[in-house]
Amino acid sequence: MSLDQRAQILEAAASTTCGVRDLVQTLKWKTSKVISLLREMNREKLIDLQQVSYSRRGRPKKNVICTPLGFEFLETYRRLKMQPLGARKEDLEHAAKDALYASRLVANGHSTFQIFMELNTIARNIKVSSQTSETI
Amino acid sequence: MPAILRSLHRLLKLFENKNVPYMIIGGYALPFYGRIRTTVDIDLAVSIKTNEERKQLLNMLQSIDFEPTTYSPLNPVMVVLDQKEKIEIELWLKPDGIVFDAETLKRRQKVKLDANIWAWIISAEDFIVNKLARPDRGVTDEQDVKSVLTRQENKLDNKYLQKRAKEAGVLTILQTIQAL
Repeated sequence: MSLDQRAQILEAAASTTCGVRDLVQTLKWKTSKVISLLREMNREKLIDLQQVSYSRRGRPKKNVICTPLGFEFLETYRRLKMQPLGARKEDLEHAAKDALYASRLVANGHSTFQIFMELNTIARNIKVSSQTSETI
Repeated sequence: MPAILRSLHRLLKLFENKNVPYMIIGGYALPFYGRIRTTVDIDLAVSIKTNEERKQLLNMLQSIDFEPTTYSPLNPVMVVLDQKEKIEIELWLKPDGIVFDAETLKRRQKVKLDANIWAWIISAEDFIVNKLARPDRGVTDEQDVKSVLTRQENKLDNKYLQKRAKEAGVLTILQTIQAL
């Protein structure tokens, strides 16, 4: 199940009280698909399936309730959808140049991970020593 | 050998011995696919699905002196501290935008970290999606993605990348970065 599908179900469940049949009508998906998605989301604790007391005979109705985790998921999903590109063209060009440099290193027989580890160790040591001098 | 690699080695050996599917993600996977830049975080994605498996994981970690510092069943990440080396490692139980299925695991790459250390790292395509799907995605993440797109230009499985990006809701931002 994709994030988009989860979000569509949560959008519908969060906006109004709805049952499985309402969801099928709103989303225009097959009933079997909706039921299987709801079961999975219920297992993931994104929704609760709340049984409604029903006076008529037949299968009791279940309302789809968005849980706090479901709301959190939806909020993150919306934020992500709307989150624009933060990098400027120059930032990306710079990254592309660095990548080509890494390719040249590999072509010349270097290990990019080993170079990364050396660089990382130096940066870590600088951080530790600056923290030590701050304490002193 | 740096303390980070010693720590990582112990953890990866545990995962291999106990058959726990894992892969290195984030900054430590980047030098294999894109640019070289420094990072403080060591991120690992671990395929844990049930509560029982979580409990087993916690016990396994404690058996090799790794203590969880932050942990909640609903939290996608568990931070563990190696008591021996004093190194923190982030274990992602639900990595952003990544579906831990058979295909993701099949596409992992085995790489050499040191003379005696081999490890599984996330595929380049899943790396890109994971970076773009971060809720706190920043300029550095976008630059990392651009560097992977540049260095892996002819090696990427574009069909798979598009599919995963669409599922994670980051296809538009990916296309924007590709176009720039």
